[in-house]
Amino acid sequence: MDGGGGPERPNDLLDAYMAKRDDLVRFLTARLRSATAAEDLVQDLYLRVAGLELTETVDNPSAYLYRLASNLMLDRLRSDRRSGARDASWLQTRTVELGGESIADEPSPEQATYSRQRLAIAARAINDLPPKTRRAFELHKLQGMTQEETAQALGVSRKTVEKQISTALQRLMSKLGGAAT
Amino acid sequence: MTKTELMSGSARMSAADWVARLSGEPAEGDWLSFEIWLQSAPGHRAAYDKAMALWLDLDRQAAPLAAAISDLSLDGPSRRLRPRGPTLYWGGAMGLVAAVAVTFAALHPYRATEPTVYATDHGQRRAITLADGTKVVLNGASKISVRLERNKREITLAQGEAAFEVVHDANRPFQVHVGDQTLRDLGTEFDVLRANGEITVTVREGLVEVRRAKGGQRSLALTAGSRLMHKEGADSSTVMPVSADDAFAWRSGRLIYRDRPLSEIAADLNRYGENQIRVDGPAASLRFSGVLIIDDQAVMVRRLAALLPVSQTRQDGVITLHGVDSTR
Repeated sequence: MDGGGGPERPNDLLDAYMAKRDDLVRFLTARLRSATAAEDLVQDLYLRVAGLELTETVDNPSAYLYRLASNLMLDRLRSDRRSGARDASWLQTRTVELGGESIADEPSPEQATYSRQRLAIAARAINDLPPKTRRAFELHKLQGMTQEETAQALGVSRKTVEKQISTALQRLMSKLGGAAT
Repeated sequence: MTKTELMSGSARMSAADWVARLSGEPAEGDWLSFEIWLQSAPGHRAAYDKAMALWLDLDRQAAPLAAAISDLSLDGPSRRLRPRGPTLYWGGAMGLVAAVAVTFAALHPYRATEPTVYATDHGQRRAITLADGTKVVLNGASKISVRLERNKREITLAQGEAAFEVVHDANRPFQVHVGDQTLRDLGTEFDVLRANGEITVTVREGLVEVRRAKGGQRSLALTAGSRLMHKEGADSSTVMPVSADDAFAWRSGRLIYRDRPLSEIAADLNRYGENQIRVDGPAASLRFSGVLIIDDQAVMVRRLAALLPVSQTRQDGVITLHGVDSTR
């Protein structure tokens, strides 16, 4: 590689990435149910954005970034489904990246210091929810059904499930005040 | 009680709404309105983060939580009458929850013993919050492994740079292994760099204890605003006062220098890209004060060259900085 430094790219998209990076992680964390997975995806997005040869200006960088991120995410979800286990797949991806070391992608549940007391408060808060809200919460959150599947199981609309989930979370937040520290 | 904890009721409601909405099947429009919501009030990001942290916490606790709820509804005095209709389905579901709980309990001990490895490429930066709440930011081309156990927390910095904001826990000492040194943190904020056979530890807040990894009886207490530099394998280390904020600036995308030799800056730039940066003879003693925005390595070198009387040549992945006047 010789010659002086290459020409400077128009960096609008990279600037947008830098500015929105953290918010993209926030957005994707919900969908991927893992802050680590969201971070990884946004890291990969950086490589995409930095490597793009843009021939014209992007008029809505935010929407463009979203589409790139969304494609990356769908690729992952698809390959997860193909390999049959989402967790195993995340592990595989990262193992290759890091040269065959054993990796645990998520902090194990034991590491999260969640006192018995908090657990009891949470259980009681959920137990005291209106029955339908409680059922939606349990199917979606504790059994890992998607909101769509939960809606079908309960014979309600997905929007209703979304509201019930929000209600349950609000109740838990007011009882627990946030994540365990 | 901090400001973020005095979150208004309405902010909390919207945050929960967003977590619920984004956990479904969000589309492009949701992203755009989410962005607007985050920006529309200063507390929204914190409110969302808090709701999300709890949400993820619940995922990790799904099995014990399901068990606790089922205990409550079976034994509790206020057992609810279940509506008809989905009752059959419900009975099946509870059985499933119990089965899942058993599986989880069986799996935990194995998972807990594996270290978690985090790594970055050249020019990347990554923020990580560990399960104990400790915040770590990894600089480019860096790698750490993390092992959090009941009675200790152990980090190994294999290469590169990491800044730590440690949540103090008297029962679980926080140790960082780096080369031939071991750091023990007493609840604080510090930066560790391992590059070119040298270890640099900078403390911004609190106290860090440093000792040799093997057979070290003597330890050294590093206080806020001081920096330790140690050549790996050497018997001694150097401690000097520094502006610790400068040492942490890379986390927000800046490198800050006050009267530093070009050779030191070149060594730093080496870590921000694949090219090797060298300084030619006399130029090494040039001194630089200023701020470099972290960017593509070639761009950073170009900016640096514009601020100093140097020119650059590139060959085979090596960028050499020459003093402009010294050759004439």
